[in-house]
Amino acid sequence: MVEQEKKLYPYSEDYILEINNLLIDYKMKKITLRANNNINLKIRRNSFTAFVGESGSGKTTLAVSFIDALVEPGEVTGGEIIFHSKDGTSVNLSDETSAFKRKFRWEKISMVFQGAQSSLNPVMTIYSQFKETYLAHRPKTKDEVIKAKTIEVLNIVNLDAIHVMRMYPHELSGGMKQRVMIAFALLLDPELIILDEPTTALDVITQETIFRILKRINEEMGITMVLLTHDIAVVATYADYIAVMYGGEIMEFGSVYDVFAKKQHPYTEGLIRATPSLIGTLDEMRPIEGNPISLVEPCHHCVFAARCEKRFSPCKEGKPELVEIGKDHYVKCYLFDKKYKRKGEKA
Amino acid sequence: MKKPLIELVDIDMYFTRSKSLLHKERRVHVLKKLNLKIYEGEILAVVGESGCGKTTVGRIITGLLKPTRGNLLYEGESAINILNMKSKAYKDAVQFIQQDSYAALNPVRTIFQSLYAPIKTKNQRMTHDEIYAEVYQNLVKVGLTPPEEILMKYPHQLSGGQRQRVLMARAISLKPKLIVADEPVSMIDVSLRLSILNLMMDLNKQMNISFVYITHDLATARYIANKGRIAVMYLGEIVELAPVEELLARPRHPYTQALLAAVPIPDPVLAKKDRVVPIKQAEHMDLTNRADGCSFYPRCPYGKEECTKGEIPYKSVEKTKYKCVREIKK
Repeated sequence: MVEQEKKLYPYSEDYILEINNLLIDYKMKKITLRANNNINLKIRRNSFTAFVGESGSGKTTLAVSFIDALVEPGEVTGGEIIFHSKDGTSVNLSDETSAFKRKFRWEKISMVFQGAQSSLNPVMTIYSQFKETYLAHRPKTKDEVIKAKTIEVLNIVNLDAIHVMRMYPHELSGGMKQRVMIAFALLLDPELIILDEPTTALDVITQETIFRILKRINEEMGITMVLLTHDIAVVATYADYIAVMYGGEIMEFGSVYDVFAKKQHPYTEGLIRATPSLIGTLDEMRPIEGNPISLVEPCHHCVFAARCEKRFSPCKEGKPELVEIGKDHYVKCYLFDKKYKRKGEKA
Repeated sequence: MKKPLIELVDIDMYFTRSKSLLHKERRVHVLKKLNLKIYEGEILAVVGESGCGKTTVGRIITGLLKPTRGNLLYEGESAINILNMKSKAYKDAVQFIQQDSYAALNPVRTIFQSLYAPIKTKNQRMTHDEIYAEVYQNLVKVGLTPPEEILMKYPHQLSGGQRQRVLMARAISLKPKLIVADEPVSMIDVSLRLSILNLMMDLNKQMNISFVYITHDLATARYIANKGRIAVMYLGEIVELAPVEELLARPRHPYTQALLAAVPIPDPVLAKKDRVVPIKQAEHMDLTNRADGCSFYPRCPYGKEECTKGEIPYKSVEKTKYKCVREIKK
């Protein structure tokens, strides 16, 4: 096999992850489903970035592609995922070998999966699961070292380490299991942790406890967090940046303050209005009309056009570009394209 | 004063785990002396964390479970034996809507077959055409238009929101007086949740059906029951019962206060202020061996000695009833 010369990527201090023109397809017998279409995004180092979207919006597909855990037949068919490590190196994950990515996973990027209940092995104690993972990445490590690390990470998530280490998953409550999973994600000192709906099965008080721990890990240990959720209230409360996804595309990206204050994209606006909350008046709340888009049929115009209240002539004709409308604030909508003006509006 | 449609009187519920090789018999005390009145035409939200017994309450009201002790009154008459009795009227009058709409529909029957069966069972004399007309009307009522497109489909061909509407159509086909909805929107996409809640509110208004809305989500409870009441449950007890706006403005029970403080709000400026959730990090009380006194005591930040003694009585302030020994400062 001929060794191909690898392209070099300039290192970035500010960003940990750069995604350029990413395409992810699910190739099936008759159809190809494009789950991520032309994603462009930069995730700031040490930030708490949330991806919000409904089921089928492609947020999980996007996040698992960072750790090469796409489910068959999912495949990255184009674009770059560039990871800028703390040690000053940059790699493009989409053209590395799977052996490299296996090593990379959990040491640089780890993940807390949805449903901690089913993520742990029911017939192994917590400690033996931690040890197994540790040894798979760093063989021949002494037992004491692994034990010390396990106790350290369990303490970070406020668990009684000595006690919990010896327990089996069924002896733990839902909230405790989720905290064990967070400790698990910290085991190999990653630089980025992906959190896939980490609190959906938990009550709000436990949710608050878990997010406080995550926020502390984010701030004190400098680990970048990527949160996947459908709950926009959680995002407003705990995240710094928000990426709104719909139909496999990023519709809006920016700091939570900008996005919530201005709600530029009609979908973002609709989503916030459709979320019942304890603040605000009830008459302002209403659902988004229509049904979520199905990706089975390829869509050649704006994916949100069919449900959009502010739809006008170009929306059904082409796909808008993601344009920067403020510092770190991007929107994908023809309303922000200067070429088009709505009827009745001054040019 | 309106008469209650359904009344739960001193309901106690135990779940028993039978003896096995490794375990002794365990009796879990999931509902403790629970009293609740549901009035005609009202929307009552039952809120609580997982394991607090809110679904068990729903299952007792619908007659799917028989309580260990206590009585269930329907329009003033005891309906406790609905499980082993002919009380058809009760079963028609109280309908249940489940969380998982896919599991609740038979996957090998078309929607029409699923909606046809209950009407036919109730009215044996009705002809096929009459039933078709009624099913058609019900689908229109729940906003599934045009009905022709839905009727011949199978459950997997519908979206989650559409399936939940089909369940509503099935529930109203027996002209019930009460619908118990157990987390009906938790599996539905965020953008469509409100439309399902709106539908329930419309059915409440137009057909005067009472709703018991069981949820863990205070925000949707506030939305649907904005003119109704809300019952906060904690470990098998109703710790606070109040009109929604009053509960949100002035929560009295320490658990309600903690719950409200922990709910995330969709406004980063407000949400990112320093919030304190007044609760102690502690394990729940052991339900196999309930201690005397307040069940929230192990986690309550205001716990005193008197909290651990005897039965805690309800206090009434304004329209709120709450179960706590603490005096509230005016």
